[in-house]
Amino acid sequence: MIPIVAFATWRECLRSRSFLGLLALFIVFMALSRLIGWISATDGDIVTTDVVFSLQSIIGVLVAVATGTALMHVEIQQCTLYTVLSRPVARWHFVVGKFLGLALALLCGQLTMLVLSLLYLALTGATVSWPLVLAGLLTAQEIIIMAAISLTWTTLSTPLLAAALSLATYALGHAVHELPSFLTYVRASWGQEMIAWAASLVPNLGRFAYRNQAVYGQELAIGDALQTVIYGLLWIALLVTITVAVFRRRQL
Amino acid sequence: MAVAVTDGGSWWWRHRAEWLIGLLIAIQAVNLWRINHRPMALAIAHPTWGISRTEHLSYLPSPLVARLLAFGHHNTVAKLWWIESYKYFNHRVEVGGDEALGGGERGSFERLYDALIALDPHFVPFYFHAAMNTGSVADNPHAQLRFLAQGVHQHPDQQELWRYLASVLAHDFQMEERNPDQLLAILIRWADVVSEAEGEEGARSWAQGWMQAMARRQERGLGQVNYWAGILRVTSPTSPQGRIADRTLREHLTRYGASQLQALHDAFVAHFGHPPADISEIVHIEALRQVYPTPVTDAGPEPLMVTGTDTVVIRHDPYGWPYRLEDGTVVSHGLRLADYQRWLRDLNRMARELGWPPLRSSEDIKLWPVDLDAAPEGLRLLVIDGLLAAQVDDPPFPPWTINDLLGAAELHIPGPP
Repeated sequence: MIPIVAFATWRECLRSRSFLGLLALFIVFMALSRLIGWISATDGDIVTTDVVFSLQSIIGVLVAVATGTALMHVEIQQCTLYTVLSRPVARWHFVVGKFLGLALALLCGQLTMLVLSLLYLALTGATVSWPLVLAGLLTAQEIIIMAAISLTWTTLSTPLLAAALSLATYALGHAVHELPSFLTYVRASWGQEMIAWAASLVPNLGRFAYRNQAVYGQELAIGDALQTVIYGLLWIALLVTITVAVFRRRQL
Repeated sequence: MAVAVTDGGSWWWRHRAEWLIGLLIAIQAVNLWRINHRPMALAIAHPTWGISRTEHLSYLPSPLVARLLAFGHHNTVAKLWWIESYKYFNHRVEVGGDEALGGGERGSFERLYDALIALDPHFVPFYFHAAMNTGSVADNPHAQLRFLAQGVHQHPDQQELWRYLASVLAHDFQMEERNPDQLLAILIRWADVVSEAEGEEGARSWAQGWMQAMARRQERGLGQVNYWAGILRVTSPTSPQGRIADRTLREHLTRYGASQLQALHDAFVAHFGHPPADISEIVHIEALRQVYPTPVTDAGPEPLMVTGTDTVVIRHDPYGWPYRLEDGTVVSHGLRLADYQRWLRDLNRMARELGWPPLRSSEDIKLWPVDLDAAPEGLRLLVIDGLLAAQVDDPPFPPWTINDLLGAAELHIPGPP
């Protein structure tokens, strides 16, 4: 049943107005990004590349949060969930299927954005390199983690609050990456340990922001890239497991 | 334990999420107001300044906070912030100064570029603009120097940053007069990193030119040997930089040797009234007494040496080739070969830079818009990787060992044999 639910979710996501609208918004902003490059006191290529790759991430996060938080709520509100669960479908099948469908749709969106970005950069004369492709793929994984976060928060609260909490988790996830610089200000070693322990409760999304180095053609070691991918997969697995656990006990 | 989600409770409780978000938005609005309020306080203190936020860069977080607030988009935030600061730059160019609220005695440019570089340390224009604004606009040469040092540390391959740093050190800090050794150490480091990045040819660049100019300003003639010997002492002899110092020393010594032999030749002609039949004849006691009025040892830079039978003879040149006498002029064949090889290197570099067609054989040189001088004796032209290369015969004598020579004091000319 998981593939059926996943396929239906994937199709539903791709048809959703917010998904397509934000993709269109990405194309418009991407086309305008060259303007920022032009007004900078440089040849503009690096500035444009930075802006385009940030857009991929920001719009991807918005799509993930908007779609992820609405996904379950719509099913409950429109009572379609009961139709599905009245069949021999385990709740965890439903959650995993929903997540896989959402992740697949987001991946399609991210790959589309990446291909469009690279084409746009190549057409405008900016350098297109393999590190940029890898940076785009790591951003895609960051977005899928955000989808998992949104799904978890949705099962714990209302859609609006889940959206706010998801965005807060995004901010916190990037703040965690800067934590080592801040720990030097904490004198007590127990305080440092406490903060480090608390930080480990949030996914370190800064690990996926390789785009900041890729723009300059800096290569990422294969070991580091693999470590980041595995780290992301583990977080996705953990978040989906939490979502399943909560959803199984939820009174519908 | 079941997690119950119900729609019961009061209206306030049912809309708790909206209230929470509203509260967050209100907090952000207050923060934005506070940010925009700061220029107003500045404007009250200085009514002529106006109240534009961008003209005063009133929001300058520390580098750490800036990284925290960028949420993984460090490069983009840095670039957008940088573009926003142009207005402040224009304003400061007009009115001068670099004041802003907060930050103690540090000026706005310094704080701004500290944050921008912390966000995006790979973007080279930040270092140039930081140096230019803190130095030329805000008149703070120490901050300027700090940004340039940070720049060359982060981007050692950037020749322009090195050149800017060397200019500031020489011009604003008078390092050439006050601490030439320190400036020399920086120039050597510059030349070394360029050599590592671009190979030996790259090392003969700005850094080399600067060092040569510095050597000429400090010493004339053979006195420059001391300068280059200093460079050789602080670099590895096998490094590109060491090889260049060795090559330069050899060139100086050869020119000096040729000039001394020319003086002996001229003294010989003046004494005997006719030119010598052979170059070995110029080592005559009368000529020697004119050119070397005081005794010198036979192991220094001089082109003469004493044999086991106390006979003074002409040494081979520092490249290992005998000096020659051509139409009354003493010439060094080793130097001629070295000059030709250097000319070939310059020609290859020009071919690469100007995109001349690659060569398949030495006959193809006609494709290049240059007149190729005839190769000197003992040198054959080859084509390697589409460029010209030289194959040089081994010299008949071993070349001088420059490091041994540098330890010698002076050449001693004994009495007549």
